Amino acid sequence: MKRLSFTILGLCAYLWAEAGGFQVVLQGVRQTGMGNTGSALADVSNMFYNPGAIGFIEGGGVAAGVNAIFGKTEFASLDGSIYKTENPVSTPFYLHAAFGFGKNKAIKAGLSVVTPYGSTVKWEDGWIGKTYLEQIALRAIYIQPTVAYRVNEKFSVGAGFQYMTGSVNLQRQNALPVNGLFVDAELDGKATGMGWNLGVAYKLFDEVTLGLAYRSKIIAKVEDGTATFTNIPSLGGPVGAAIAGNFPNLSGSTASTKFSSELPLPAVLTAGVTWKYSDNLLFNFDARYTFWSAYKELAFNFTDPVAGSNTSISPRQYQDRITIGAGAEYKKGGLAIRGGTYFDPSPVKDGFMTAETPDANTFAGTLGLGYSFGKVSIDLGGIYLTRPTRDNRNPATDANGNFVGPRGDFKTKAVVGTFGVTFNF
Amino acid sequence: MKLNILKGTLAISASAFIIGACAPKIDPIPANKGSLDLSKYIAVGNSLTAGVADNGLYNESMRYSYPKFIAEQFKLVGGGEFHQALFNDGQQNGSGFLKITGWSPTGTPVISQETNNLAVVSPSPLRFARYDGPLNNYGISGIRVVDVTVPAYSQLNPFFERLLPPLTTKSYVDFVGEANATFFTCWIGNNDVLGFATSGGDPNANPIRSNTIAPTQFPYSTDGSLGAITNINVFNASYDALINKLTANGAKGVVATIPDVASIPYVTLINQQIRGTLPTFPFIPKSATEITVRREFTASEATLLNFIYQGLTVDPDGPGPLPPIPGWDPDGAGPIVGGTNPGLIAGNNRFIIVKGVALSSTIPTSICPLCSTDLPGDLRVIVEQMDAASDFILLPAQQGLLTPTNFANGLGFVNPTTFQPQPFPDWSVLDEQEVNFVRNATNAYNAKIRAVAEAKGLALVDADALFNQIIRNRSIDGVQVSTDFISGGLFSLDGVHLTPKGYAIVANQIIKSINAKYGTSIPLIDINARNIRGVLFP
Repeated sequence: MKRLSFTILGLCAYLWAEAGGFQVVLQGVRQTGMGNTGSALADVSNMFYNPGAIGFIEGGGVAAGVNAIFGKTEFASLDGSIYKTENPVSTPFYLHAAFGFGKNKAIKAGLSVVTPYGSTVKWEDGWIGKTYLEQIALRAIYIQPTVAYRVNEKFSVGAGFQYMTGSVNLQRQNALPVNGLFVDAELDGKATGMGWNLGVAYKLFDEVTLGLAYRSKIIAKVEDGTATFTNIPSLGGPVGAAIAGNFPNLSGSTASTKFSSELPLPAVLTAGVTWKYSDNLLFNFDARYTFWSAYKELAFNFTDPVAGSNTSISPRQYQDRITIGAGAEYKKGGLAIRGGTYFDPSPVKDGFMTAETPDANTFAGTLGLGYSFGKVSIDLGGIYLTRPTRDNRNPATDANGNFVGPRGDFKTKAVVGTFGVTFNF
Repeated sequence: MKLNILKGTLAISASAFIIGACAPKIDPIPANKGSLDLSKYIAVGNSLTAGVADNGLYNESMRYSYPKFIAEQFKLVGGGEFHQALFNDGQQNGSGFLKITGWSPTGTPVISQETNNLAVVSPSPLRFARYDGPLNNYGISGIRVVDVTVPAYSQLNPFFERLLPPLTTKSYVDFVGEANATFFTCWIGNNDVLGFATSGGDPNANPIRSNTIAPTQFPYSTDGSLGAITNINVFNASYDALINKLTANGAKGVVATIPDVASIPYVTLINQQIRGTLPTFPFIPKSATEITVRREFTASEATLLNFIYQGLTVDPDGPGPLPPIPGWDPDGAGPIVGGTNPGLIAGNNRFIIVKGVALSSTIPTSICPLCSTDLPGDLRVIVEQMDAASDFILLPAQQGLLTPTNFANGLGFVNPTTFQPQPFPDWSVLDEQEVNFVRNATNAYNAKIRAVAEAKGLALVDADALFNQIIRNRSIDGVQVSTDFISGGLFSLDGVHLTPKGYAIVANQIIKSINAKYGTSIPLIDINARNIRGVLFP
């Protein structure tokens, strides 16, 4: 029974964007504890972020973990009112397994299952931005077969093929220009996409390892989504006819049509350095360049016209960003204590904050604790992150002159707890 | 069992701790009232202030009055309670109001009068259920600036009468003075021209018109004759009396100008339809589009019709050709060329209208069966072709005149079988000269209102400019809205008063003017996010 519920929890890994934009950087519990750094670490949980570093692990390994994100955003409306999210706890997870082959087990083959992008936001009922968003659940699970090769004692290279499967569910209300009425709208679809990653690790000295990795962009394509409109009012005369004309395949108070959409999950270039100061102490520094500018607009194409149009386009205009982080790990016996910090500047330009990604520059502090019993280690980690109040009082507008997001200020805080088990062999 | 409860409690406590730790606790958007004392805000004005909509004062309409909207925003910066003269339950429909109850087969809205749950306690003289609770909204339907100093005014106006103890004689100025307001808004003066405008400048259209105005002085009145335009000197003195009273204790406030009469659908709707400038929209009554029909006459018919009208078409300036009318539609009939007939020609002609330019006129029923007929005195009536660019057919004509039967009878021309002339009567048309009377007065009033704002250091809302901006842009501050009747979202079913959305727009303009004048930052209403409604559809 316990196993079952854990599985369900894993499958329902609705994510809450913990890094900038809708990126979720929770690569492994060790890395999490060290300010989301460690892309040069010889650690099986690096498979997704730097497959090149996998070549340096001793034999093989399996790492599994789950995170719990408690996040909350508040919104101060221009008209003086305040609203908040009631996000469910989201539980992104990871699973990495690598096996060594060949001479000195220099060849590694492995599989990585991670959730690097996602967002779960649920605003309280009746909030003032409900025409932008009531709730969104966006998830993307990457399944990545990986190979790595330790060329020599100094250099290792690795690559992976990535298959992404995911889903999006977006709910909001459409304001009718009649009687102050709202119609419920829900967009629901499954998404798939493919990409790759490539990474290298280089031991500059015995104490210092450098890592460099690139992960390609994946276009998450929704092909056969369903847009459903409910609570459509039934009015008489030409007004009723005009309302009915806005909704496709109307039946009673419900209408629906198919839709397609594309969401770019941006490419990421990561550079890291791990410095073993002593047998007990190591430091990590990472920089991560996310090619956010791929995300230009959020567009939905409807099979049948909605409100007279087959498309709905909202500009996003994200900008590329570099995240920097630093972390340290101190080991004594089987016990490890970790700490770190990172700064994640927002890819969202001024005026482009949205109800689904009320993003701002993120400041985070992290802590971690681990204990090893021979080949097995159990780790705990936590992140406290804050996005200071950001002004969205004068939002950008779309081609129809509608605001991209609600007018007011956003502020976000979140706590992430993470638990992981690693088995090295 | 107990262990489970303990575990549950611990889990809940732990969750509460974690959630508490990540509560962002955002600050509200900076809002402050500066040095303003908003503890007692009162709203002074007429039906627009009272919250009249759909030609009625009722509880639902009052909830969306602009003073109510403003007071709610004031509360965000520490404003006081705000009370309106609501009717009791069971009488919530107040004076009754217009509502769309259905649609005709051609898609025309069927507009009916609400007659249930009224607060009318006496139909004649009209009296409403009294209100004696606390009051902040002092808007009185129908009140004009010329009325504010009249001690017995409450006996003439049932909306004022219901706010006072029985048989009280108290001027409106004294009434609002007793409120001891710390802050006020004042939007008044519309009715000083509106009675004249909405009766088409026809002195006979108003049954209780005072007869004390000399014909040569009409349409201006110094004594508050109904259906006349308030003399500017009287307006100035009464306006001063009102503002002096409101500011006597140092209260700050806002005054608003009067919009151009040609901004309200009551005046402009049918002309927009005649001129084809109204955007296609499903709510346009179909019958009205028939008035785009022009009548084609043969030369002999035109001559005969000119003869029938002859004798009525008298130029008040004496014999001789009338000047060409600016904006005359070139593909209609030509301009009036003489002072003795409406100038009908062979070919297309425009509607014939009676232009009531003077009091005391006689119009034979045989010539204009739809006109008022009992005016004794000298003959000073003009019958001429209508210019849709400058003469306005008023909204009541749509219900009263623009019927298929009347069109079949030759409305606007002549009955094709009996040759009975059927011009539009004076009360249904606000002609160019009458519009100019109204505009001249409006400009003079607005000059006074601006001067008072300047002299007293009050914030000013230019409602005239506001409505013109909405007409021009069909939106304001990102809110889609227009002055189109029913569909535009600004004006209610009476074509004069506003919808909830319209009142919210006015409230935001007033708040903006307060913020600009007094350096406050009182939050504006997010009209789009709240999706505040326009006309209510069935």
